[in-house]
Amino acid sequence: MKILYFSVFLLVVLSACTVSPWERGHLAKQEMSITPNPQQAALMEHVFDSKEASSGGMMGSGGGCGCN
Amino acid sequence: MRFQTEIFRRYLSKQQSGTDHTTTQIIEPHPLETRNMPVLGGKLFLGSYTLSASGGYSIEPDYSSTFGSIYNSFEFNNKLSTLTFGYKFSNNHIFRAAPPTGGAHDHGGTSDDFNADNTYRTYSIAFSQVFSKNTLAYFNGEYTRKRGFLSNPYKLVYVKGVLTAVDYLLVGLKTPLDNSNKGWKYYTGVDLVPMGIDLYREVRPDKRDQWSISAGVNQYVSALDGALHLNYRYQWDDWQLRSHTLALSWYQKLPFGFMLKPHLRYYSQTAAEFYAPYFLAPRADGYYSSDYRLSGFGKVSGGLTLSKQFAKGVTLSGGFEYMTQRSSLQLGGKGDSGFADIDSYLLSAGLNINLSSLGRGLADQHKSHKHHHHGGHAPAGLMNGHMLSEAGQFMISYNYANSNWAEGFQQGRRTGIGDQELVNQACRGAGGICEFKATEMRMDMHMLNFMYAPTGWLNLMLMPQFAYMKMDMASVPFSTPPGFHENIGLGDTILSGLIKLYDNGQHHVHLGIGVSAPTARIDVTFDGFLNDTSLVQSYGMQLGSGTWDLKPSLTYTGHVDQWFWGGQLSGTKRMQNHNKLGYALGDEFKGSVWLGYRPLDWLSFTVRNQYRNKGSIQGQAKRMLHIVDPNKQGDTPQLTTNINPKNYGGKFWDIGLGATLTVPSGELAGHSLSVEWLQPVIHDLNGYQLKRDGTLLVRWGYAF
Repeated sequence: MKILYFSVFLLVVLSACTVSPWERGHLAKQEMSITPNPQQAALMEHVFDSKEASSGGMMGSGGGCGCN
Repeated sequence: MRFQTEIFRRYLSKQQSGTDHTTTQIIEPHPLETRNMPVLGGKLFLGSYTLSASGGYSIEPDYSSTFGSIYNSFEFNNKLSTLTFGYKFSNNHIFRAAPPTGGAHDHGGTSDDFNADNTYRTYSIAFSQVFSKNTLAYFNGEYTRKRGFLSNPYKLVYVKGVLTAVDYLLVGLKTPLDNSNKGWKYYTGVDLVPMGIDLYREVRPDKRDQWSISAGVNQYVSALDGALHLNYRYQWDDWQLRSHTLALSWYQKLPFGFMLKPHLRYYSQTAAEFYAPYFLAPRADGYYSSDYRLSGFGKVSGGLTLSKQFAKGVTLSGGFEYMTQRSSLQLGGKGDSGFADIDSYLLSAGLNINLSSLGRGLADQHKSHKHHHHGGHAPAGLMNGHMLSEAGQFMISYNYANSNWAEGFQQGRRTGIGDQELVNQACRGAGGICEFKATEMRMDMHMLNFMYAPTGWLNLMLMPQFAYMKMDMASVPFSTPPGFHENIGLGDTILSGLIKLYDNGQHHVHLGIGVSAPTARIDVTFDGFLNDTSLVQSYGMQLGSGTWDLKPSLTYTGHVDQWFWGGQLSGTKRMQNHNKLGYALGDEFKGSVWLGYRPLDWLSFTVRNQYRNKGSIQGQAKRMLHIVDPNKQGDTPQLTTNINPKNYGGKFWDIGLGATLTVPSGELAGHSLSVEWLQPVIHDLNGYQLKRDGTLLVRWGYAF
């Protein structure tokens, strides 16, 4: 039940966020995407994964910024 | 069995000499790693829903993997919120084989054949949210299920007390008398694979469940025109590993399309439950690992990445990263006294080409674009055939060549050579009779060509190459099962300049001066090891020449209406008498004439006549011949047709039929794709060589 309340609260809070399409210029910039350089991110992830016991889970799974 | 007796002997001598207490990592030698990993991905946009999928495979000398992923994204709340569900899988195969000539070469060492599989499945859910016009945050949860062989085949563990002196004695006494090859488990009842005295292959559980949660925020800073990325991950699993990762990056936009990204990262993990640097008593669950990656440690790394975006979607980047790993840097500082302390650095370089924005860029300025190809594109197989005519122009092209040899042996122009003649004649130059022959060979060459025109009369070119070769071998006459070996890696890199000598708009002449730098490996061994005792593969299987080579060329092109033609003389002169293995490939001379017709704006055809003369190999390579052990009965030099330096080169006359598609307008304007098939007409080969079937040549090019 707590989770439900929290979800409703989260939705209310999020719908209060309003950024109009014409205000999303900065969000659309390459450096504001979740992985600005996927090629290098994949290389670094491979290097870290092969030297550490943890792997994955860092990349935000390709979610977009919702600005296009 | 010989190996087991050897362990017993070492056990006795160790008992006599006592033990020392230095903690040392013990791993088996393993091959030099080169990874080749093509990945193909696609995205489908359907309104607020995006489906993306990708898949690929990767090959290493001892590891192959096929993998794929699917992500579903939904945008809602005025596209300010995105929810993503993901699924990833990989099926992996870990292997190690005896040398690949059907077991013909004895490579010594203690490694045995090895084959194992595992599968990884990852399920993820991610949520990203725009909070303001400068702030974006995201959250990610992930579960990974790993099943199968999860140990490291090279890592060994020291465990005292698993086998007793009596066990060793028993095995030592019994195995030399026993030909049934029953192994350790039969005599001792112990599951571990012994690799020395109290030394075993590590054993990890065959299942692992990993969970991770992560969160990140991207903040744009208008005053600096830069963006800050902060990211945290917590991961835990049923091996009792816990890890924290905190990463911080700054993306700074600079003038002229440059972007500088300094970044810092901190990582800390606890040790796996079955990890210890060494084990003084057996564990009840039977799991052991001394792999430093499963120990408790902390790591700080930092680096810089600089990228430069050239006009129209071409981005070059280079990076440096320094990593310091210390047991003492672990959160809470409980790490293992320096056992896993490592410093390392990483240099990286990347090239990214966005084809659609390349096309768009060109379409925008198509009217001012004066690049022309003097009536038509030179055939795909012709290098240095075309010059950029305007100062400041760039061109990128990708060239691919695939050659196959499969139709039996040829000597001079004579085909249909029998095995008996091969045995007696084909290895004379290497000093004996042939015991093995090549039955098939395949070669793929990939070449990138970066071309720049600083002035109208000079073009500079940089051409890195990648090569793949595979050769099938069989003994002559057939007695052992056939085998194959393959190589993949960076080839030699060519630097060259083209100088315009004459151009009146219809006729054009240019001179090319190139140097090939020996960036390729020429000491690729059969067993993949770098040891001086490992046998190197034959000349034709090595990835480059090993020498600095001069590559001059002279090209003429002309055109009238829809017709175009040209001629080219080119050569390769080895500037050193021998490379580090003591040989030099033969010099080469090539002459081509071609005629082309362009019936449509976007289509042209060519026919080409090519003559090539290539010398045989000078000198003889060290470490290519198996050294005969005089104490081993029946040991022979094991000559193969392709380690005879006289069996290389010849005179080759080929006819090439080609076609070129160009895109004159639209999104992909200015791209060109050329294909050419090079059909052998008369080949006069030095010595005994496989007959070549033909060569497929493909070139994609784009100038901007």
